[in-house]
Amino acid sequence: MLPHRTRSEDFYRAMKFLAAGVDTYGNAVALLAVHCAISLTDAIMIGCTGKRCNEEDHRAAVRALSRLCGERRLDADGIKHFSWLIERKTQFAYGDRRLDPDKDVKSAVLRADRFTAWAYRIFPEIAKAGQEQ
Amino acid sequence: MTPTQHAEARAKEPVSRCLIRHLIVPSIYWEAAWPEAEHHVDLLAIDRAGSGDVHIVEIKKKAADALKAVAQVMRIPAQYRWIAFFADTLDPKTKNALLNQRGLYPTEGPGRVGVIEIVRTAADTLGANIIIQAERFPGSLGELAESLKSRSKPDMSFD
Repeated sequence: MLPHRTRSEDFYRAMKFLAAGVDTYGNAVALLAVHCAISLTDAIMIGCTGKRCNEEDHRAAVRALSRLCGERRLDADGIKHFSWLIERKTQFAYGDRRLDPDKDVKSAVLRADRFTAWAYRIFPEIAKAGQEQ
Repeated sequence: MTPTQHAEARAKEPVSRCLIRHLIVPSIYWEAAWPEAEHHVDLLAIDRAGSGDVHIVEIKKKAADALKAVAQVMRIPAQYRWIAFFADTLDPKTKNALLNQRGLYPTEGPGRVGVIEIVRTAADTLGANIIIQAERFPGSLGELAESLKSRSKPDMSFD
């Protein structure tokens, strides 16, 4: 689980670092936001169930996370941010349209922030894993 | 409120932004009741939305006062401990002491008090930067953090 959380946090830090230059790095920032959320979901799924979603369509990961929250009767509110990012993954990576710095890029950062905060609040064991005492 | 108190109060926001740049979605408390309700720290940040390591910051207007506060900071439980001061108050003696760094380490065990400088732009907007990175002190503070979360709401968070 830890390699996936570390990967998510690496993407997160890179996203934050580059977000200061949104006009120059907007495409990279948006895609980092998506991958930050995907890796964090992998960490949650492995930490909680022992396996991650291997389907190529990442919408399956959204459904798997929703199912996990349902089974454990957990607040699933943050999943909407993950879903928003996944719905735009193809557009951010390969789309013909130029990304809007506010509507696309800053929103992607905000969604990654909120999804990460939700995930660590609802799955504190994922946040605490690997902390030295 | 004296000018010094006003400056130190204003500094909370830029220092928070500085920690937000370096941590992962921290929950930030100003004037946090820590470690118990009767004691306060200027700024407390709990990494990973309140589930991670605890950072505390003692903010002083003058660099010399911040350096003097290190002894007090050493007694406050936190995995990461910081002092912060206005860069334009840094005198040669304090600068030498910071370069030397010896006073930032505990007498025993791991950890180093980190240093944040607060800078002022021409338009009197404040910013903050880490000039000496804090190193982790030992300790498990989960119960104290849960107690804080049960009695206060963060001033800055990502929810």
